[in-house]
Amino acid sequence: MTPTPMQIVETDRLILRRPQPQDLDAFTAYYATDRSATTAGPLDAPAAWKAFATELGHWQMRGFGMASVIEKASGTLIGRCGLWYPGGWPEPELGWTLYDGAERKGYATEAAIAMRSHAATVWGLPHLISIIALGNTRSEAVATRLGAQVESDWTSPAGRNARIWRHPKVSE
Amino acid sequence: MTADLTTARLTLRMPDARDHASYSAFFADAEASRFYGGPLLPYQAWERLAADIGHFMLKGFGRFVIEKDGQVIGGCGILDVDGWPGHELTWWLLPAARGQGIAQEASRAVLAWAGTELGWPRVETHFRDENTAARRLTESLGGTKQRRETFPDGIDRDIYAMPTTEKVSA
Repeated sequence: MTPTPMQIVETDRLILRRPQPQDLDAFTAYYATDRSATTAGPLDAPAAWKAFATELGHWQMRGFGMASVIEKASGTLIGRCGLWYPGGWPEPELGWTLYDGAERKGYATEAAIAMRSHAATVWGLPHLISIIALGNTRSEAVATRLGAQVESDWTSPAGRNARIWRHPKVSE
Repeated sequence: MTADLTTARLTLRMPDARDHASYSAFFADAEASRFYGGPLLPYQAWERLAADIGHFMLKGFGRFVIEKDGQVIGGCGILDVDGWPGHELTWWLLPAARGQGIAQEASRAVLAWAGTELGWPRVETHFRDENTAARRLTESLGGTKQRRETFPDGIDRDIYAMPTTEKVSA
């Protein structure tokens, strides 16, 4: 398998790159807050460490994964965006999470559009889903801006209720 | 990338995506996996495998899988999860691989590797009081009790240390 380059996608305002060990602190801080409830949180520090290790292992196992999103202007790590396909998932999903203070700037949409194109052209996945927890209206708004539509209800293997959204197929 | 470890009968290598079936089989067995957070469903075993792979990327060491005659029969290595009191030598074996001294053979390879590659003079481990198999194995590797601690899950465990040198009392 060809190793994935460290930097994956660049947009006007963002760089998406593979997660690095130094990204753990921001990950743990996010999972310490109730904002993480829509992404299986909150998690204490040991559980967040395991979840972060799982994200790194996901890259190794699948050849893709959730990227760290860096704000170019500040160099700050502001969230995650990429493909998430752990065991028990129906197919790879396009996911996004912004950390505290990074919301309401259009970053999730900007990152997701870039990652969706990358998934189609580089990873051969042109017709992605997103799985959004019931009640996560902010993510639903992003999905709508991305042109995705609700496809079905879905319950995760851990019993969390969500909806599967289907993105428009990316044409070459 | 950590190089493979080899012993008379075994190869220890970093886990990868091929190992999902072995992890699922082990963690589906409630009896075999009871000291390892099991039983786990296949999707949870996938997460455990991914976390074991990520552990190597975060720490530079982790839990290898054990191959014998080309088949994965278990795992052995050192885990160090943030937030827990110290690292641990750990091993797991599929039921069919037990009773053949494999955990001890693999553990000796990991201890020697910790000494030469990580530069550690000793490796710690811990286990529940009722895990007598773990205590026997630890003692056979020269382990001695260091202290007792209450872990984040509320359970008290003895913490042992084993030397990484060749001088291991039988």
